[in-house]
Amino acid sequence: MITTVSSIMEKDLITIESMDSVDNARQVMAQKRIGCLPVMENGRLVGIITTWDIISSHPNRLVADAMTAPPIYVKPTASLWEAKEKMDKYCIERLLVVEKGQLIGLVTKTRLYFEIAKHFDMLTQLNKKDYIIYEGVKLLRNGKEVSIIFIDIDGFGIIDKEYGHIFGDLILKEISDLLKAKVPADCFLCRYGGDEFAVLTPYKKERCIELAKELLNVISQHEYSIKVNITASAGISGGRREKSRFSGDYVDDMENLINLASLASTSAKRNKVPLVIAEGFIPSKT
Amino acid sequence: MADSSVSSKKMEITLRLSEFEMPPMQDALIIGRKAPIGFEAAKRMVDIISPNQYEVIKVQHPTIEAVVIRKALMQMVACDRLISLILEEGGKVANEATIFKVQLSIVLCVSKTVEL
Repeated sequence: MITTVSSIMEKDLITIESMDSVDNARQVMAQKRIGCLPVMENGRLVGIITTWDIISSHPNRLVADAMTAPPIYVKPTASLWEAKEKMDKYCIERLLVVEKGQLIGLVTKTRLYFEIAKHFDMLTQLNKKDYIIYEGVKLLRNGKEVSIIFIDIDGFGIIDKEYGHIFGDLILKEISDLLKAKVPADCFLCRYGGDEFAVLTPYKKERCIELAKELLNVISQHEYSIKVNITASAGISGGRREKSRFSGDYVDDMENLINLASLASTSAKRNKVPLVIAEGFIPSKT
Repeated sequence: MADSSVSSKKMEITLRLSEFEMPPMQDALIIGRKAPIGFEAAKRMVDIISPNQYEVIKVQHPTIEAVVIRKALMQMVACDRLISLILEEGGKVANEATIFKVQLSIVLCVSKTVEL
């Protein structure tokens, strides 16, 4: 499951009518200590009035003449990054949430960034898996190819046990820096779990295999700050886009692809081969 | 000893009556971006006070938000031409906070030569 806007939105909203005065809107906002009010007209959302609108308008004005319109909104099923993209695009601090034409919530920038921070790994400075799901969904929506390289570091537990977690973390940081430098700009890298990384690519299978080999090489050939030999196993899925393979629920499809690649990497490790390409496609959960 | 000073309070009320102009604007209104009323309020006002007689037009101008203009004038001169003229002249005196009432007269001069 990917975190969506619906899980972080404020639901108890105070609204104002478009024919109310700016001064009245100011009073409501001051009284309730809120920074904006969604503007309604005959039960329909028509705009949003913010503190900025209030201070730059005459208090006698109608809210309709001071509000920011049309309102910028997202669906409750939108991911956190989709909401962030919209906020950044329109330079706004608050985003409305609308479902079937009805206003159902509001997300503030502070709340959104707080939530996004949970999906960012401080040690490696990499995003976690939700981010590549979001980017993967965008690729699928645009009819692009998607493939996943799932990289699992071999015997990492032994490093932690022999050298301690501080050095284990140091190695993970070095590996993530290597991967960051090697992963092309049109691909997306994330730290999936403890010693696991995933790369989303817009490539077909063959190119994805080439990239996976390059990444495994860069990991195994690097001279680490503690003298250890490190290798990794990788699993690949996707890269053979066929419409029938996808369920239409792109989040579900992305999760399936990641799962396939993860199982393939386990298989590679078990069979002591560097790379396994997943053949099947796990049917949708639903 | 009794207080010799005497005080009194009086109030004078003056009434000045004049006819309320209908409609209260004349040929056009220039509405500033930070004026006490904006496009929506002006639109609703003219729709209620003088239905079908005025058009409220939003304009792209640094200080002027909208122009209210009598429809009859637009039958004589093209709307774009009138608006650009009002913005050109009004823009010199109007500021963001003001609402200007504009009186506009159009005189059509026709001169024809006919053969006798």
